[in-house]
Amino acid sequence: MLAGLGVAGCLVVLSAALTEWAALRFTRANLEIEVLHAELDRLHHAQLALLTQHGAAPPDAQVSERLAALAGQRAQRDERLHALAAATRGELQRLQTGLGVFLVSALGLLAAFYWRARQQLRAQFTAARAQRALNESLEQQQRELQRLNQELDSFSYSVSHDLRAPLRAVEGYASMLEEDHGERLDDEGRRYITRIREGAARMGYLIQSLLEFARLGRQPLALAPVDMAALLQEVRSEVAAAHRGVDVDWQVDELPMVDADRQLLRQVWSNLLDNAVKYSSRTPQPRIEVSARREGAETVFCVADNGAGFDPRYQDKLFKPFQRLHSEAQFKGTGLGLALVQRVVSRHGGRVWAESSPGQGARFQFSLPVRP
Amino acid sequence: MSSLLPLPMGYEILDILVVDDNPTDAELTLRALRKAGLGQHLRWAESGTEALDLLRAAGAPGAAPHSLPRLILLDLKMPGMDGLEVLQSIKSLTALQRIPVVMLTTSSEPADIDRAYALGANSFLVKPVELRQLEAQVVQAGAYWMLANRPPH
Repeated sequence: MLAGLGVAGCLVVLSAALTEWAALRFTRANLEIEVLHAELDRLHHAQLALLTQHGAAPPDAQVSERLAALAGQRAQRDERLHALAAATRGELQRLQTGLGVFLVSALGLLAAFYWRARQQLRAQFTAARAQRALNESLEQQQRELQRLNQELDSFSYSVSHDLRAPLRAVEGYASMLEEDHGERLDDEGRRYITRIREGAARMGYLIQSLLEFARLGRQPLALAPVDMAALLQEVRSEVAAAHRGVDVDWQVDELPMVDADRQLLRQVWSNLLDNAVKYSSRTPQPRIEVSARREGAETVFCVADNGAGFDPRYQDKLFKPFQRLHSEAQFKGTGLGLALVQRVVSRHGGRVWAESSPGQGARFQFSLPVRP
Repeated sequence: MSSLLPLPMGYEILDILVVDDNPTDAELTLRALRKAGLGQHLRWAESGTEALDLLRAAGAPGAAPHSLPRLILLDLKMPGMDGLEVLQSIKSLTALQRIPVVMLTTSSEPADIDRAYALGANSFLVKPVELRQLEAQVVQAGAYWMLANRPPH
């Protein structure tokens, strides 16, 4: 915009100077023409005076000579006058044309500048308006998210507090009944109590898992370099301790360092290894292989077992909360483990997938982006 | 205020004060403590206000000796004055601030845990659903704070 104004100012000054210069030139040409006119008049008068002086009498040779000289001079001056007038006219025309061209191009230039400035301004304005609209919608989304988060907070609060309290009453009083009055019941009565207590305990466990699962989505990621080999070793001993009596032949490859949230990754390994041990516990010689490989901008980790496997038809159900491919009686579980794995991995920007067929073992793989 | 054991006239011996609005939870907790033989003198306050009234009276100059509890088990979510407010009051009163306060609650929300510790809670326990686990937890906490821990003089 400022550039446009500058150019316009320059053009105005320039055209004013040009006009001034042209006016000066024409004034000079006009002066010269006037001088010539005056001279021609003078010559004319001189001729007339000579003729009048000598009357109609035939002029003597001297007078004739002077007259002829005067006429010659006059013709010369006349010719010059014509030439000068023609040149001035030509120059005037050229000047007019030049000035016209100059003015037209100057105007064109100005118009172009104006147009560009206008376009730029309009673009800026549109961009600003779009930005404002975007900001507003982002703010709105953020408010909505905050509101949802608060709702979720109070929801999990009430789940953890209000749902577990009555459950504790059920479990607690059933336990007290068993302890204090158990001998007055027969075996069937005591079996009922055991069932009540098991049910309550399992529901408590489910609520706890659900809470942890919900919390996973909200908690910010604490990214730091994680030694996967060390983490896997930790988790492996925990999982082995939880499944005492299952003699697994472990084969663990070298695992690289990754940038991730260690606590959350621990949950991923814990669930994958626990599943691998759990579902291969009925195989005569359980074998679990853990490996890692680089694939483009990702590191892919793989846990393969030779256990029960799963039907690939239900593969898409595998990672959904509370979806189980095996009955509780076959293999215990909450149905949240793999949903949790998927949530953690996708929050890290990775993917998780699995392949298997019944009786053929399962391969669970997840990828984590390699951060530069 | 409910006294579960009759006290001799003129004595107000108190070992553990259980503050919980839920009678079931309170009964389970008190039963666990009694079963473990921890604290002959247990009290249950069913609201924050009741607990604070009891504590202020017991901590007032001229109150009977040993009338302040040696341990407080405090629930978090209670109608009216909640556990955090009770905790704040306890920790701001000179006569009471040295009594160990163990939060015993159903909430495992990290925000609650952080707030409780910021206000001076001595530990934070999440009540398990199963009675056996609750018993083990309450007894461990009671044994630690009543027997193992050496309070400042």
